[in-house]
Formats: sequence, C-alpha cells, structure tokens
Amino acid sequence: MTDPGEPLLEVRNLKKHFPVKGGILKRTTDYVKAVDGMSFTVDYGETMALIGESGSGKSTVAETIIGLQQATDGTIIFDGEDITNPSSDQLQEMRSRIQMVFQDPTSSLNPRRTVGNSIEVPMKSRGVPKEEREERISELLNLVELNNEYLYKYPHELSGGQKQRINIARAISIKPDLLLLDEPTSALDVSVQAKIIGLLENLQQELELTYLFITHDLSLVRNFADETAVMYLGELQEKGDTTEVFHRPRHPYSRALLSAIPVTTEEEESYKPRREPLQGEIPSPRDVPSGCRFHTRCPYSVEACSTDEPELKQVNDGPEVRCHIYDDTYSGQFDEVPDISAPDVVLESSDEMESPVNTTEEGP
Amino acid sequence: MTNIEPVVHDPMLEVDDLHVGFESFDGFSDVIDGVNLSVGKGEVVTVAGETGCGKSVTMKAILQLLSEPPARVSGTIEFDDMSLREMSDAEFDQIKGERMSIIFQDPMSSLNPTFTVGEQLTDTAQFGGYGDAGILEYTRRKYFGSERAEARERAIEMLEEVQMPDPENVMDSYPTQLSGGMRQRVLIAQALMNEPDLLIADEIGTALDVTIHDQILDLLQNLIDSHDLSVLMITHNLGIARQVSDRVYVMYGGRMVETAPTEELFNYPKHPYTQGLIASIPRLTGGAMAEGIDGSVPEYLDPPDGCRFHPRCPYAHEACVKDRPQMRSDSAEAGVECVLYDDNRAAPFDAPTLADTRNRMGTLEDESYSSEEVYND
Repeated sequence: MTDPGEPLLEVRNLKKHFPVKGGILKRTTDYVKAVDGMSFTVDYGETMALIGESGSGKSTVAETIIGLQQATDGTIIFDGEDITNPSSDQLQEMRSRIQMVFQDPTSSLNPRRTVGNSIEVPMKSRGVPKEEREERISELLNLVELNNEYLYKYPHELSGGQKQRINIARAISIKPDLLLLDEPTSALDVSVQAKIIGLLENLQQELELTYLFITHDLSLVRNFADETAVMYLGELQEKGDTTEVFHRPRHPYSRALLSAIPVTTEEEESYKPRREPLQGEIPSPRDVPSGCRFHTRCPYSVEACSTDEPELKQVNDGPEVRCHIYDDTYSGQFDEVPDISAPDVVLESSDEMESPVNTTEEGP
Repeated sequence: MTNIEPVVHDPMLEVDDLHVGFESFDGFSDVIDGVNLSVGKGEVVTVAGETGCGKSVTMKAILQLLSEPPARVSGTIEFDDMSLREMSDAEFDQIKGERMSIIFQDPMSSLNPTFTVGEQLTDTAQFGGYGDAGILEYTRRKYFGSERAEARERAIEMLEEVQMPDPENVMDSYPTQLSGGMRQRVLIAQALMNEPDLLIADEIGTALDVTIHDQILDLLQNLIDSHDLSVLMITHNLGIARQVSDRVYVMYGGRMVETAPTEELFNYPKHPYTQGLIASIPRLTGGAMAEGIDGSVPEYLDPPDGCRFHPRCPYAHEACVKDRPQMRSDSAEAGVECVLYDDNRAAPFDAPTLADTRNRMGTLEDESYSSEEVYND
C-alpha cells in the first residue's frame, strides 16, 4: 500500500480517439478526439475533481481508467503498475481496487435484484465466501447509514438518495483504494446532495479512499475536492489546488465557468470573477479548433491563439494553466488580460476548513 | 402580523385555494393542498422546491393539462380577471395560443422530431390561438395565399430576436440537428411568437451546461424586459430563482410555505424548510457545508398531519402535528406558513435564523455527526 502523499494514480498523455466510420466500406474516415493528451496524478487519500462542460471528455477519462474503454495512446499507472489496456487477469485484480459510482442512481441498479443481491455481486466475483458476504452486506448498509430492513427491498421502493447510497455501498464492498465518482449527485436534490457528499467525506476518512470526482457543479468542488482540474475538449486547461483555482482562476475558461454559476448570497456574487460570458457552444470534438482549443469562445483571444497551441505551464508557483496570456512570448499581444487578484471578500476561514479530510499538502 | 394572504396588487394570474388530488389503485393522493399564488403584471415569480413538492402539478393545473378523472381539481384560477376553470375549451384555447405560453423543461423532447423547426414555428405563428381551425381553413392558410410567407418572416425575425446563429438555416433543420442550447432558443422563440402576456417556464435550461444555461438565462431576462412579460417560473435551483425573479414562492409538500421578494427571502429566510434548502447549497466561497435536510418529501397517499414539513423539521414540536399552520404575512408580498411565527405561539423555540438552522442541521466539519435516527424509522 502506498503512503499518503504518494501518487496512487498517474495518467500520462492519455488519448482516447473514437473512430468515425463512413462510406460503403465503413472505413474509418475521421476520429472523435474525446480525450487528447491528458496527464495528471491523484495522490493517495486525496480528492481530485475533474470539471468541464458535457462533451469535454470527463467521463471518457474515467471509463478509460477503469478499462471500460481501450486507451488509444498514453499510460495509466495505478499504484506503480501499468494498467493501460489491461489483460483479463490484470482487469480482475485491478477492478477490485478501482470502483466506479455512476451518475444515474436508478439505471445503475438492476431492477430485478434486491438491494442485498446488488451489493453482493462484486464480492461474489471476488470469491468472498457466503457467510462473510452476508455479514459484510449489513456492515456496508450501516456504513452508508441505511439498515438491514433495506436488504430485501427492490430499487423502485427507494428514493434517489437511498439508491445512490446503495450504489456507493456496492462500490466500496470489496474495499477499493480508488473510487471514480462520475457526477454522483447531479440527479439528486440539494438537500439530498449535501447528505451524499457528507457520506462520501466520512467514508473517505474511515476507509482511506481516494476519489476522482467528476462533476459540472463547481460550488460542490469548492467544498469537496483538494485538487481541481478543468477540462475542455479533451485537454486539461487548468489544474491546481482547489482553493487557488477558485480564489484566482487564471484560465479564461475557468473564469467563465465560475462566473456562470447561479449563487444565493451577495458574498458569493462578489467572489465570482468579473462576468466574462462565453460566446457560442462547445465545438465538436471531431473538428477541434486549431491552436488553442478554446480560442473560438474566448473573450480575450488574439491572433496567435488560433495558430499556436499553448502548453500546460505552471504560473507563479500556482496552478498549471494552458493559456498564452501567461506565456512571456505572447503576453505582450493581449489588449486585455484577466484580473487575477484575489477577491476582497472575507471568507469564513475557508482555507482551514474547506478540506477537513486531507490536510497533507501536495507538492506542485 | 396579519392573517391575510399575501396578494400582489393588480394580478395577471391569481390562483386561489387550489386543490389537486389523484385517484389511484392505492387510494387518493392529496397532492396540492390549498395553494394560493399570484403573479402581478410585469412581475417575474419563481416557484422553488425539491422534486416531488408539486411544482409541476400546480403548473399543469393552471394550464388545465390534467385529465379529470383521475385528477380531482378544485379552486379558482383567474387570468386577467377571467376564470379559467369556468370558460369553454374554445375560449381557453384562444387564451393559451395568444396570451399565455409555456416553455417545457426538456428541450430535447418538446419539439416534434418529424417536422423542421421552420414548420413548427410558422404553424405556431399561423394557428396559435385558433384551436381547431378545420381542415379547409388549415389547407387554405398553409398552402395558399401570402400568410404562410408572412408567418415565415415572423418566425425568422423571432429566431433573430433569441440570438440564434444563422436563423435561415435553422428554419430548415430538424430538431435533432440542433444542439441543446439551440433547441432551447427555438422553444423560447416559439413561446414568444404570439406576444403572450404570461409566460410559464418549467425548469428552463436545467438540462443544459452551466455556460449555455447562463446564456439562456441572460437572453430570457432581456426578453422579459423588452416584452414586458409576466413570468411564472418553476425551478429547483435557488441560485436561478435569485438571479431571475422578483418574488419567490417556496413550495413543500403541495403547499406554499413561504413567499417573499427575492432579496428578502435570501437574506432573511423565515421558514425552516427555506432555511434548510439555502443552507444545503454548497457555497462558492467554501467554508462549512451544511449536512442537508433529513428524510425525504412526504408520501401524498398519507401526508403528515398538521404542518407537512414537521417530520423533517429541526424545530418540530406538538403544535406542528395538530393543525395546519396559517399563512402569516407582514407585508403585501411576504408570508410564511409556520407555527414559529404565530402570534400566540407556544413554541419552545424563538423564530430561527439561517445561522441557527445551519447549526441545528450540523455541518460536515462536525465530528459528532450522526443521522442514523432518521433512517432507522
């Protein structure tokens, strides 16, 4: 087992291109570049959030990590072992250590299986003996704050929040190290969402789990994740410590995402970056714009953005950003640059409180 | 405080004592239990609440989209001083076509996939408000005369108004060829085609991405201003309610539990449910995150006695179980239905503030956190 602070999952230059077939012979005519060169690490015991619009390739990243999709290129290293396109033996081994919770709590449970049967499946495939399984199921139900009454219920008898609890129980039944959470709360109401997030935080502490948390809800990330990575059209645009990314968003896309969130207090309103509304919609990943992928919608873009592709670079010891504005070679060409001074809002001691689970500082 | 229902001056839409129930095999479910609601002229009103609180049923009852039976509807619905429940189908069809519009929740399924966007929009422009025009009239209008061309012009104009890129091309495409954001724009254009007075929007843009959603809300806000619309909006996202509306109704268990002008509601929420909802929203500024409201929305087959929120309320006591609390209003536009605000209350609690509720609900930083009693019922 790896120590806290060490990378548990390392993704290097991951690519996933889906072929597009056309013509009479159904030959590959084009590729949908869903994930196009992603590199990131998730440290042991931390929560890494992956955010972006739909179509930016967030879910494909998770599916490739867990082996539901074959990677086109790149390497995925889990706990020191290369698990890119695993063999079936490797897959068996790996799936007991990486589990996934899906977005829709209803369609990810078999309607003909009772709750108990559903939770039992992963353990059965791992060959856990029957008596142990039964004991473990009631233990799991307690862990997710349900009880044995739920054992013989069917999914249709449960509410959305309860179903998601069952999904979580099933995912943690074989004691995985890494949980891939693909929008686990987006189908739920806020009051239930808060409960599920609370549960996930408790489980992380108790079971020493590592999370890769995929979402489009940025305020949730602010409260839950240690590190945040912003994705756009299959590429990372900004990655760094959550507080830093939210406090001083640097990439124009992160700024636009943040300024678009509807909030409920004045305090939050002034915390948002200046309104920089985006034009148009996300381009098709089949036809990726040249140069910087974001230049077609970027309020700051200049000519160089459409020709030269920016690199992911660390900006003043803070997050890594993929943008020419922060590159000395290009920075002179911009008429206007985002104001990245921190908002002068007095925060409710958020810096100490926002990450109650993991206080170990990750290095750059 | 008075016991009068908060009613705005000069209402466009006024719903009084609306009851909706449904007959089913399991028995009678009493969903909407005496809802009062009003939308003033030029006012933007939002109804907010969790899933299953009766928001959409209220909207459907207003638009008379519920078939009776199995639904049982009672109460009065007045639109511009005309009683909607007493008028004939033909009269109501005309109002629906010309003076009232609706934008449904899902932009993917609200357009007919077998017709082009252009056909659907021109038909709305030509036939909106006519009910059953008859086959001859239909053929004449659709295939002869200049009306069709005029209506098409009007549709393109409308698409331009909703800032649709390349409207001529969009007119000839099928809904499946458009993106979610574009479809939502088409629906808005369709709804505003016949210059309605009242627009009803059900969870507008919820299915879209944040950035697109933001664009749509901006657009809607501009259109509301330029067309001087009265709007009844339904949403589960309080952030959107705050951004768009003048006044907010908070709905729980088929009842309006609180209403107030937007700023007042968000700065000084009164009802424990409103406070719980606001506290549950993760905040962009970080800080402690509340734990959420225990339990789930009531079963309508056998709703709780008294206040329907009492099984989930951190301030519940005997008085809550006995009678339904009365709506108390301290101004024409604000009101709350909770015994804690009763003048001669015997409650062991003072009127709670948002911070009180946040503490009572517990925050995620709290080590002694436990919610087992809720689930072990």
